[in-house]
Amino acid sequence: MTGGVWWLAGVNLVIWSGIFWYLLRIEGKLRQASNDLAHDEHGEKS
Amino acid sequence: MSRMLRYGLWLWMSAVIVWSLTGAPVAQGFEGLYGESPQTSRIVYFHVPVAIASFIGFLAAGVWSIRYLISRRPSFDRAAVAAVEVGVIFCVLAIVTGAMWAQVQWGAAWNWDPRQTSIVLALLFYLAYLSLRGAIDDSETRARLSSAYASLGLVVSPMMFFILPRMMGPSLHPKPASAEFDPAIGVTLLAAVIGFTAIFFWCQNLRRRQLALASVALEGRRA
Repeated sequence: MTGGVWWLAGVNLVIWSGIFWYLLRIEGKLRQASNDLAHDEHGEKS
Repeated sequence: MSRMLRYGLWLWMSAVIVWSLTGAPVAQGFEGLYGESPQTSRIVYFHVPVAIASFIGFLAAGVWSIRYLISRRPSFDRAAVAAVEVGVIFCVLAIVTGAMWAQVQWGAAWNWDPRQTSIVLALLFYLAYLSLRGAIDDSETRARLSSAYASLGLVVSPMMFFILPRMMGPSLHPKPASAEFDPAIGVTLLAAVIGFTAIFFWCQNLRRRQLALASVALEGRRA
């Protein structure tokens, strides 16, 4: 170990986890929108 | 991206963050002009990977653009523009972190160093691509012209990122293969490059899907 910056690692972990959670949320919203669209198209056909 | 891969990426990047800021060796000879701690050189584990990820993204945009020009499938054009948009963000991050480090090491955030200058030129090249897209209303003409432009990036990007900085003369920038770098630094950098490239393509994929949904919605409104 070289006496690194633990507090900075903690701050970065929090930031990274926040970005990761945000990307997961967008992923979920996009999946939901695709499903809704497919459902609408299916509804129009039938 | 599957659920397993996404959580794997979170773990991978978390390990990279903790290791690069606490365990990985610091490059020697980076005390800074005013005797700052060499710990500041740990910014290299962020600065270099985001620069490389943006370069890979710009190359991918060029490949998708060529595929669009061959097949005329709009999905390739959407993939290319998504790669450029995310690539521009990563490129800005590389420039900003580079300037922060330059302030510590060289005493000024901006020095017109060959590498600083050439990465800004690359950024301007891709900002012009986005401006070009914004200036054309017809979607097919826009896709065709911007794909021709972005495919030039396959030559321009390597030129700006690697060839031009070497041609522009002496640089203050540390050389990647110089003896002052510990091999452990290289391994940490490689792990960070893999992680940031994965984040890049995840973001690009999300943006591409968002553009696809927007185009379907637009067609629905026109019909």
